[in-house]
Amino acid sequence: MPKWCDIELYNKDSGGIDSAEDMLEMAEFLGYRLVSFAGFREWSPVFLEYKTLASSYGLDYVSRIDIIGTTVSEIKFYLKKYRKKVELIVAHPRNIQTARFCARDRRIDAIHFNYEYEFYDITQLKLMYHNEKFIELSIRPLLKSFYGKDFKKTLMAYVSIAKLIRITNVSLIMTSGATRKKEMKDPRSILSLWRLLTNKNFINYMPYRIYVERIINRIEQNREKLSGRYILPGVHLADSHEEN
Amino acid sequence: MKKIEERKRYLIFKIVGNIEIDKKELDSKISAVIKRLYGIQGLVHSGYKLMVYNRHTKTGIIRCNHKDLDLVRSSLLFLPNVINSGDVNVITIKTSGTLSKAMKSLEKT
Repeated sequence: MPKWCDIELYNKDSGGIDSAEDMLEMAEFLGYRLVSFAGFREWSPVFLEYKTLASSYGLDYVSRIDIIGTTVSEIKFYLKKYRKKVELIVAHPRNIQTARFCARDRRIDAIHFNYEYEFYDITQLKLMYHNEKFIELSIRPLLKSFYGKDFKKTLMAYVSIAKLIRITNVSLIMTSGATRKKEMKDPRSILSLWRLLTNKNFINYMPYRIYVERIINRIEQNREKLSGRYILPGVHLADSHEEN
Repeated sequence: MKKIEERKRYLIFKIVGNIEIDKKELDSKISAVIKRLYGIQGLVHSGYKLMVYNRHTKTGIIRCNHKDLDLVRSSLLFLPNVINSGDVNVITIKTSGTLSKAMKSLEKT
């Protein structure tokens, strides 16, 4: 069974409605094994509380911060401050300069897709692919706009990004972006939205196992770096004799 | 001449939340969502049919073609927007290849 993950959940502390306990309880019911709360702009001691809380539900919690920057210097400031503290950094670029910078900088793990901006073009995605970035596709805007005027526009933006993802082969993370436990969806349903975007089933695009492995490998790599045993790529501190 | 039939899948789902809806109404709502997203062609090709719905447990079974399982699943994502109450969530629990197995799973949930 794949180790399903939803790394974009919002709780009371991070702009959501329901408490962290409710969200984690629902995540466990839906079959998730790895979760993360988004919406934090800086490192917070509550991350440690979430970790213990999540483990009580049998879940693995990933500490994450979201960098929203309008200038490159602002993003650099946050990266310098928090890269060695959190396991996942997701950028929300607001203009083309920051978007290109986020795609190049190796300290950023993923870039959140926002359908309102037009800089998610083939250049951006190729740059992301070469720098091993993930693109985070939240399904919430699409679900919210279903009966609104913007549904067609939103759907078109999602369809075009899905097309570019298929062409450039950028790593993809699909998230629910849930702010309440009733907005949380099961993992296969989230991925089934790929059918609406590309007219092909997700399993034909990528096996579930590979999809999950890509995300987990990145998180484990970051955890290893934070553990203090990591020196350089390929160079690690060996276990001491006392430990053996 | 032997008739070629598509393989079927049975999707077990559950509606979470305070809502009173009968089978006929739910069927029309799901059809409306599929029609809006994939058109009439999508609705016909998917072989969608609401087989069972229990209004007390709020669980049900949907039949569809095995290649169009994601079509039905993605349509169920949008269902809470169509059902007027905002406090509703639709969760797909399990997929089965036969109706009898699906019924057994439904009894367990």
